[in-house]
Amino acid sequence: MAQTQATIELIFPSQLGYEKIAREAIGTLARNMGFDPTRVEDLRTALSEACINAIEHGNQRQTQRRIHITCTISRNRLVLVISDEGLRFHPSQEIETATIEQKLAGLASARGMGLMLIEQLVDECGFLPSRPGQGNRFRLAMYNPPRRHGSATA
Amino acid sequence: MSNPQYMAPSGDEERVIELHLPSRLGYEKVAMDTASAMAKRMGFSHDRVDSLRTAVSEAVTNAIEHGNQHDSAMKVVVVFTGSDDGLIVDVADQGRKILDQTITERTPDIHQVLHSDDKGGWGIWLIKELMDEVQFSVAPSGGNKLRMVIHLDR
Repeated sequence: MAQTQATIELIFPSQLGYEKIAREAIGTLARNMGFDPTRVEDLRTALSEACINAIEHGNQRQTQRRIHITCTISRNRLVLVISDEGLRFHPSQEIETATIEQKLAGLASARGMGLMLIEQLVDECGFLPSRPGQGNRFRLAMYNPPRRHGSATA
Repeated sequence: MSNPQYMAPSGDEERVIELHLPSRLGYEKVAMDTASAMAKRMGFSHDRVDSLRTAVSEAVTNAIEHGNQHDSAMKVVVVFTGSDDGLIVDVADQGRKILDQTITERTPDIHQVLHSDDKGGWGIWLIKELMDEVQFSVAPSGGNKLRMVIHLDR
């Protein structure tokens, strides 16, 4: 499996709970690519957080809106792009400037904790530039072997 | 974001998951884990979830091997539609090879199969044994479409 590049797509409703199904599907892919179990768990957690953001924020929990995951895998890299329908755009600037201490102290919005967590779990992550007619597109990547805490690239 | 190929009937809750896989053996595992995550969430018993996993595995493997002739550029599209009555799983290929309809009706003869070079023919029989309803049709893509239904016991 995964000798050359391949793309898998998963589309599901904006309803909490479905991120668990996505987590199973993508977890299986990562395991079959040979990622070690701890990293598969990290990826599963990061993906859940990203999906929850897309469901709650981008699609405002409107169940008829879809979440679209595109997973591109090659020999040593797995890239996920989680797209929503962009009913609300993600205020990523605000999230990047607040620290977790500020959030915990109630000095900044408690939202965005998920993104902080994702950053700790994967090799690369960040929002992709918006295109007309598209919603938020959040990209995360994991390498095997790892490239921990690489800069977020688009 | 591309439009989903399958539009669910409008309702209060849209329980449709769409999965696009490359035609390469191994990827059926992703469909199996997606199916079991959804079925567990819907309340199917372990035995039924196991039956569903086997049926999905056979259907996707058939689509990869026969329908798409192992051409990894061709997609297998799996659509899971949940309702209060059960789960519908549609598996569509791009139809490089159209399924011989007589295969869908016969029960393989074990003696004959053991003595022939072609050891196939058991997948469809097995799917029909495991699932509550099975239908064969032509997919909108022009390929083969297999629909299987598993009912929730109430």
